[in-house]
Amino acid sequence: MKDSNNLYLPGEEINVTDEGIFKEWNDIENSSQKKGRPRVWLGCACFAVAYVIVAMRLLDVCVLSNLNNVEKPKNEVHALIHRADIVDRNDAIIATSLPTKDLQTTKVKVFKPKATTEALVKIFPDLDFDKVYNKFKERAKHSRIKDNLSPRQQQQVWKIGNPGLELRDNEKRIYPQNNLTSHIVGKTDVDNIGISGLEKGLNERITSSDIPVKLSIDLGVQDTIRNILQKYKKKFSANATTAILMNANTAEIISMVSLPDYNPNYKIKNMADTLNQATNYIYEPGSVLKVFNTAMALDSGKVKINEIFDTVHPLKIKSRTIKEFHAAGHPLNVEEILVHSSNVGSARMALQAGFNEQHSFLKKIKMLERVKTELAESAKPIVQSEKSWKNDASAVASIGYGYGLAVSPLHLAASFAAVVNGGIYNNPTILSGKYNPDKAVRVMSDNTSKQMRRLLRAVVTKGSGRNADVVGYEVGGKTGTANKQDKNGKYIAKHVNTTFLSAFPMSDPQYVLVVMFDDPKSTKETFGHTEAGWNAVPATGEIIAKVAPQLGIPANDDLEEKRSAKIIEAAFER
Amino acid sequence: MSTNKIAIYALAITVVFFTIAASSYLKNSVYKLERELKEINQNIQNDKIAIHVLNAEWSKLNNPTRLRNLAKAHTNLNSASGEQIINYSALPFSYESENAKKQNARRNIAALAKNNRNIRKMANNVR
Repeated sequence: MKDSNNLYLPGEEINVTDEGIFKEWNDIENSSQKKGRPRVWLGCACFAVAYVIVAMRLLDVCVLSNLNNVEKPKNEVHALIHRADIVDRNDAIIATSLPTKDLQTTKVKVFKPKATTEALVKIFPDLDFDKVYNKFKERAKHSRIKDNLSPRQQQQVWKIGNPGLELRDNEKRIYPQNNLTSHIVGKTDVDNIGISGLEKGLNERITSSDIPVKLSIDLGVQDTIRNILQKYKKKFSANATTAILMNANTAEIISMVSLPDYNPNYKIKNMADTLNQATNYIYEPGSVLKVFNTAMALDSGKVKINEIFDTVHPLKIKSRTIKEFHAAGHPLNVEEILVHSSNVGSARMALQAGFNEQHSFLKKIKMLERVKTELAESAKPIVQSEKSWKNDASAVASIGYGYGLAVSPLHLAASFAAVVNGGIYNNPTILSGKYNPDKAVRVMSDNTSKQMRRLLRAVVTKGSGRNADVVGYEVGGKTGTANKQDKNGKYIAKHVNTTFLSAFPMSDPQYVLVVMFDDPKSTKETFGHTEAGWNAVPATGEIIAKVAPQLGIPANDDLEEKRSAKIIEAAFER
Repeated sequence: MSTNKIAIYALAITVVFFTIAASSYLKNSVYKLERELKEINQNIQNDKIAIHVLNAEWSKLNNPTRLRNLAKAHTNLNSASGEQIINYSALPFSYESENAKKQNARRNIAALAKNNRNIRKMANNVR
């Protein structure tokens, strides 16, 4: 141990005992641990609580919050186009929509309005500077400046970089076929709502589904017919012309051309062009109604096919006298009445059948009501009231030969199909695959239809339809020429509507074709004639010669030989 | 609290914590995938619109009026007339071999027999 003064002497061994020190240290440690332990625990607890809160929140965010409404990943592609396409029977596009952008103002104020307007007018030269500038000044919200920008114009607008300008998604309806199908598809307005044709008639269907609307129209046939009609319209300087080609058995419209037409891609210049002559033009068809008169008389059983009528003497009913247009000079049987287009003979047949038969037959073949297709347009026939018609024998007689009943070419096509196809009326349709045999209505006996086929073929081989006799296609039909009426209902001399109703091949009619000219003029080639035989018939002949091969109907070449051998009679009885 | 109990609690908390961490990781990766899907869908949409526009362009170029004018300008072809389409029977020679004829005849007879059987069956059903 040490001295009293507690100092080690030099050389003295220092005896270190660390026991005491460490003991003391341990004591200190133990005492502080005792004191600090609760604090440590408190700290741990705080952290634990914090972690638990974080964990609970994570659990809540990751698992619990979406337990009920689990959002499925969106797999479908959001549709930008709101109007379905319209395609023809071969899936060629007739109408489609392209995505475009509209330029409009936003809620945000347009800064530097003057410079912005100048830049915009540079991009769109048709914009009015003051109008746009005022819009910016008035701070009009969401006000349209320009519709349907092309991608290049969009880029230029973006380059201006003004937050006050906005590009809104829109679509523009375009018609790649231009004038070809204008009357069928119609048009849409700036808000993409159909305003005419199929666009209006099928607006709901077009806007509710993406699946294209498939038409029964064949664009190739449509173009061929339009081309021929254009030629003839020019040749005879007709006001208007129309042609309907219809499947005789299903009443599907293969082609419907109406001239003049318009380009639906542009603003319409002349509103008269928008009239669909095929469905909306109401006129007295003249002699073609004799077809239905003959069918009615034969089907009623009151007129026999071999019956002979007096056509030499004019028919007098009260104050009216009905005369022949082409006088034959001798009494005619039913076939000759149709071939010579005898007014007196047809009137006598109508009178012999009577009002009741006439009225009920015309009602059955839907000549007295609207023929509704998918098009928005349809026309109501004009005829006098049932009461006055019933008590007026001259009305019965004149409807017999084609006056006093005004219908549209579509009426004629649909009813004529029923006359030649075995006596079954189908409502015409312009959609592919919409034919429903359950909705077909029998309007005359098969036998009458068979007789009518033979009579109609005779008109083309012996009568006024000779120019339409295309070799191999057994065309049958009936011409009609009727004077036009002026606004007061008076007939105008030398201004006529000419019609040719035809079907081919007559032994088993597949197609019905109606060609109508509104006010064709005479030319040197027609020797001053304006009757159907000089304009509608040659046009029909040319159409059938070009269209029948397109439709895939084999020409029956040895038909003439067979007919001379009278074997052909059997072919009419299908 | 005994050491064992503490250990169990600690373990439980750790397990829960890892589970939660794993689920948050899962969620995060799903979120990433969804973003990727959205991008792909956007691309599909763009392609679809491009195809749509191309289709419209194609039908504009295939406008029959345009094709007719092109054909007129660049070829010497005329449209087919009715006389050019004929039936097999109008051919001056026999286009079928003997074997084919026999086979056809057999097939026709078989079809007729089948038809007759069907008609008989229908008649029986009516009775």
